[in-house]
Amino acid sequence: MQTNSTPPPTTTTSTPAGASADFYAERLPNGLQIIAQPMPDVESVAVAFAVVTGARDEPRELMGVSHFLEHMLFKGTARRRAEDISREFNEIGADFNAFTSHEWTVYYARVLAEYLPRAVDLLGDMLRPRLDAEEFARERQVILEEIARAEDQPGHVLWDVAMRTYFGDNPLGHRVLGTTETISALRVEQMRDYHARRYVPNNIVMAVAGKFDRAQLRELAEAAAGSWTPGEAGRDARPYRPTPRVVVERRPEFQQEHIGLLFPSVSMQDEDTYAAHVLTMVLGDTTGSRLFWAVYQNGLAEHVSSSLADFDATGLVLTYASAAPAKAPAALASIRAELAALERAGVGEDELARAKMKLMSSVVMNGEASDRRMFNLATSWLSRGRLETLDEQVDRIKAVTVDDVGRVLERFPPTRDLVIVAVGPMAEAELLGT
Amino acid sequence: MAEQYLTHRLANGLEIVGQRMRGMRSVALGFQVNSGAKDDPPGRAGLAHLSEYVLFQGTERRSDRDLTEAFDALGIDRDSHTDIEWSRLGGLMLGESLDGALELFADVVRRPAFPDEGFERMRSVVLQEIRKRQDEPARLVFELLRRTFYGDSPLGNSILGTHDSVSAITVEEAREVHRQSWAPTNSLIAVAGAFDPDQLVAAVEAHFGDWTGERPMERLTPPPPRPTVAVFPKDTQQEHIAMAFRCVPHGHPLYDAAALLVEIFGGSMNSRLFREVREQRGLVYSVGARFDPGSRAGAVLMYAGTTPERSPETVTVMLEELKKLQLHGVTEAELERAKIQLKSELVMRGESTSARMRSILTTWWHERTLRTVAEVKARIEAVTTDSIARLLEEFPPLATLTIAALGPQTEEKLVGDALARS
Repeated sequence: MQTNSTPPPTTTTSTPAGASADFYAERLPNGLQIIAQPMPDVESVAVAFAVVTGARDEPRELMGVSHFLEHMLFKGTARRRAEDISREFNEIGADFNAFTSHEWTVYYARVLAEYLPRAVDLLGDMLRPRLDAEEFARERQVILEEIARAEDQPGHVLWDVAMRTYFGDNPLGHRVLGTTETISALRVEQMRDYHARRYVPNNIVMAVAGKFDRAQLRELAEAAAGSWTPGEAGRDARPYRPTPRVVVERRPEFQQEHIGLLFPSVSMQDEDTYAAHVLTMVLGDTTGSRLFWAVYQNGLAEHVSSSLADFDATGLVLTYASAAPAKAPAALASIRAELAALERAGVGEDELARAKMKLMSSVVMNGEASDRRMFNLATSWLSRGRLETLDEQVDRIKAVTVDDVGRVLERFPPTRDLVIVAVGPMAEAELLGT
Repeated sequence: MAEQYLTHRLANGLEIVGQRMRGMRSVALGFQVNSGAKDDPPGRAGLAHLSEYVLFQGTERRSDRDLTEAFDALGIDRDSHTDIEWSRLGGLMLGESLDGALELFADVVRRPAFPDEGFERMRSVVLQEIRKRQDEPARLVFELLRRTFYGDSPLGNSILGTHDSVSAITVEEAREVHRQSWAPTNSLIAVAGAFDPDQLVAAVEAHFGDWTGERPMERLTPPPPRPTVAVFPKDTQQEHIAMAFRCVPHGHPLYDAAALLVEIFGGSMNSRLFREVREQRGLVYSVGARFDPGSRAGAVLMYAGTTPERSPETVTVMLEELKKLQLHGVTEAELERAKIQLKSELVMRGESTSARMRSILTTWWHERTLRTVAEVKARIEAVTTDSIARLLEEFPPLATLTIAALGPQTEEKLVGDALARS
């Protein structure tokens, strides 16, 4: 059960706006939503139950409960013991897993089409877990190991420091895994209560892509989840603006200085989302971007890239670089100069065209696998309340102009609210060259 | 062979294998050459890897900027990798970009400029990658394991190299290793997805047809394994434990038996390692095993990460499981479930152009044949608990078991006499 640290989206409960013939969107009387897209050329089908709950929905003292709960869903239900769950997934040859982010908790399986009914039954049953106290105590040890493991991964350490620094007291600053303290203190009753509040059908979407029988889908969902009682889930999501600051955490055991620069960008609901994606690629894609030429191609870092992290009601662009201490001050100065140049002069036609081409290709290529398609569908539905075909997405990317990107830069000037974090062997003064 | 498959050999010896896939708009391209870290001369560890990086620093016809922009303009998601036994360039793209991609890769492979400046920049990048690897113990431990497992054989070479070895490499050496070891006779092009076979062959003929050079497809046989334990001290949160034992290579009659054995032992959340180490005892977050077949010999690799105080118990449980496996083999029920799992993965990977490209490339590379998904399915079906027992008899895990660990724990506490007791 992975922990996804680059968070996918969440919430909205609008009517099926993307009511194109390619799609299927429906709602059970208890509020559970079903969205689906058939793919004519595949033999597999991917299905997910996405629960709109994650680290941002946790009271601070329960930090990590969403992710811990995700683990507990594999530990038994009224009808199945823990070993039955993994064995049954095995019997249907499923590629299955789950992940938790700040925004949501997702359980998914990809199977050959004939096994869809068993996969839906199994996943649906898991969403009503036993939450046994003994299993809870044992799994707590696994979570504590997962936290220890994350401490041995500099990328993970940097992401946690970056989110904490950027968001401060806002719950988006929570660590998805929780801390050793919160996990050690968590009681099973608190988890049961959290589950009862958050795992209500009107807070859950079932997403399907691949080969399936349209008529059967509603029946399967009814059988799995029709008896669940709706409740009040909701979420406190509002725009956020960070306080510019620099935080350098010394980790003498690291050899590289791991540097993060964060500035505000579009939320997942924003209509400028494609322009913001293209802009992020112009700035920091792993090849051919401004940072690629200024930093990587000058040998200043072994890795530099920027990615858009869009959340419910807010968003940011994170630039990550890993540089040797001898190069790190120059790498950081160079990234800051590129952010300033972008803010001052915007983007050019040529680099925009190349970034659009790369993004369009990746959208089409990602659309070929049923699991990727399913995640894409769920993301677009939960964030913008739309179901978009690949061609519609390609068209939206194609339509992005230099002016659109300029508007995004004007709304979110990269240097205005810049947050800089670093973990590694260097002291702040060394890194900043002050 | 179903008609969607293609094989073609150019007059200069360069071979092409392909699979057309219905309903796909993407195409995956791989260019593989029989040159890798195994060929690095003494004192020059990392030469093949650094040389591959410098390939993209410009050609006789294109500056580094022109080259990168040309790849980007075609929307190619590039992916290059230097391994122990081979190096591979390639990428994923939309079908209409394939011709352009072949022209670009031909330029890179045949006319690299090896500019001094670009070389120095990539050396700086690689020196930092070496440092970064030190910050990632779960990856570093596998490098240490391989070195321990293969001893002085070139199969134990470090792909990245060391600070000293990479600092010593000259641009002439990088140019020379490329000129000497990349040739049509030891290379293979694989393509899967949306393409026209005639157009593909014509494009490869046009861009690679007059490429000359001869290098044999020689393969390395590893030395006889000797069980070893090596514990490397490091200030980390977890003890990172990796293990290996000898198994079959590609093309071996028991290849599919080995793949199923590894699936049962450590391939999924229903595997023995996952159940015993994580589910029953909560000792780890990560635990598992994977099959690592090579040209002339293969290995089964295992990993567990756990906090130092729980590491002795973790090692004990893993060794007990290996012993059980060696003594009693697998059950019919386990084998049936593993077969379903592997067949299902096969079909699902069959829906990915990148996965199919790697599959046909690998099968042709090692066995000079192609297998349809149905043929691979049939081979999986044919495995019995008896063939797995035969495999375990021929490759008893404990006989060649090598353990490498990285973290704060001492060897005495971590392993003690647990190996002797197994």
